[in-house]
Amino acid sequence: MNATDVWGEIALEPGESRTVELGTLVLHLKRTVGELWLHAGHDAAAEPKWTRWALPPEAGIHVRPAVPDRLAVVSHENPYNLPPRASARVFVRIPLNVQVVVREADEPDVVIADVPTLVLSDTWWGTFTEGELAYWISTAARAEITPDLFLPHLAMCPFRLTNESKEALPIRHFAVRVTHLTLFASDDRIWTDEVRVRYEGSEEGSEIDFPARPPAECPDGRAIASPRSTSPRGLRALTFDKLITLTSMGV
Amino acid sequence: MTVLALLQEAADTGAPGSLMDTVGAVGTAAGIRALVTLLVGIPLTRFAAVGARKWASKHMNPQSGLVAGKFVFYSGLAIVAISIMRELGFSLAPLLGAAGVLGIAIGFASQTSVSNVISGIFMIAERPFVLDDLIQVGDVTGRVLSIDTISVKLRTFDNRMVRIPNETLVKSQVVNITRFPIRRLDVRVGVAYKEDPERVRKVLLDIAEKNPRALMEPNPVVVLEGFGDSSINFLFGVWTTQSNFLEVKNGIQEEVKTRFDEEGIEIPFPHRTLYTGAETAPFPVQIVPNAPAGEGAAEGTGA
Repeated sequence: MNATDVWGEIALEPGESRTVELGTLVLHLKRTVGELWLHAGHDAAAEPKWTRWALPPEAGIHVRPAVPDRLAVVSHENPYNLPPRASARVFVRIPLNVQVVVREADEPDVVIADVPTLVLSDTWWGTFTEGELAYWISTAARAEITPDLFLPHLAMCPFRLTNESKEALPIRHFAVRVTHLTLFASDDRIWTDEVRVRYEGSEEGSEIDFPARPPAECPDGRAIASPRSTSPRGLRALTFDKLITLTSMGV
Repeated sequence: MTVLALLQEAADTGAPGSLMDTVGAVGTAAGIRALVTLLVGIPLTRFAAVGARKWASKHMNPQSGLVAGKFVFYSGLAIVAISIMRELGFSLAPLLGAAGVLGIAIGFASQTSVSNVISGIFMIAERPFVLDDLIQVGDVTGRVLSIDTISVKLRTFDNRMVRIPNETLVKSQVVNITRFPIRRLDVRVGVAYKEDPERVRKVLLDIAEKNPRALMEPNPVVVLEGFGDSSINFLFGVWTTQSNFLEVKNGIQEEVKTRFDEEGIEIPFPHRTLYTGAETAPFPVQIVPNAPAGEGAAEGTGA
């Protein structure tokens, strides 16, 4: 199955149903007269728990990809140190969300479901007293990509790291502010724009740029999803775990 | 000009016929002014108090909003009261003198209340908790509903309101459960002595890893706490957010039981071994032949 085949309109007449499976997500859609029945879950063997939505007869049902709804933390498959004034590029696979959208002519889209294709574990990005709740991405960041890494429910995110500080930067865990990413489709692959991070050793965090353009790997990619939130110009945020020490015992 | 001065002026003019007229005119005018002050002053005070509360809530925090609102309201009331008294011709000097004497008397009579008020001021300055925090004072746990001049009101989980005097709070240990965004859930787990501690540790860490609401960082922790009477005791600490705490607490403990059952890890109940003198000797049982029914059973089980 191509990564882009699953997205788009799902034509359903009253009495018809469709099942979409992406990652571990099982999405059942059933149209009745004047209603859409929806079930989203991660257990394929479970009985559907339907949520019913009133649906005008002329309304269309679309399934579209979306980036996760909060920060994601990823670990590098082979942690290393980035020397001062050096730059590196890594690739992170971002598990996508599925949005079920009701679309009517001359009306704004209505999102009736926004569910992750994988159940992501929570993690904390910050200190014991303040920080952000984040998703933990279990697929490690890597320096090289191969065709088998592209899956319909994952978007490939190029990440350019530049160390402009005077000391080595350990690359172990880093935060990807996925809500600012744009999704692009090219052939059967989904990409995000290239995240550019400049670390200057500041405790206020690194400078992060989201160009909102297709990355070099898919120059002709077409945008298929907008960012959930627009990134402020000159965004600075904590990106590397260099400044974070969270001990399990809380001491 | 006060009513007394006007009356004096009327008396000095030697026009007794006009004295009552003057009294009536002055009294009516003063009364109207006092009434207008009252009718305008109270709503104005309320308006100002609401404005102060909203401003402080927006620019500082809801707790400061409450304090600012009350301060403005009571200050406004005092100004309105003084203005009305002045309009009605009351001199404030004797009142203030009387208030001083009265203040001493009231001070003695209301030491507790004054102590609560002062404690409240200290608490507002220290801010050990704010509105909607979950706190524990003694054996009471609840959400902070309001922080008032004399007391703090809590709503308990079974939906009762508990009023705690500020003085008590200042003197007591107050635990603010929700001050920080993440919390560690500590689960005490005991396993049988025959189990391999390293295997138990791996299973527990796997349980935490598979629970999506248990935080990956800070890492979950397993500590061998010691050797109990019947079990090897572990502390299983899992970090989670405040909002997911109850869900994780329920989930993790159920998962520990289910997983231990699946893995064949025994959670022992307290048991006691009886010896009759020699540690390795068998427990003596005496069988009594031809014992009468009922009697023999009782004797046979004794040792």
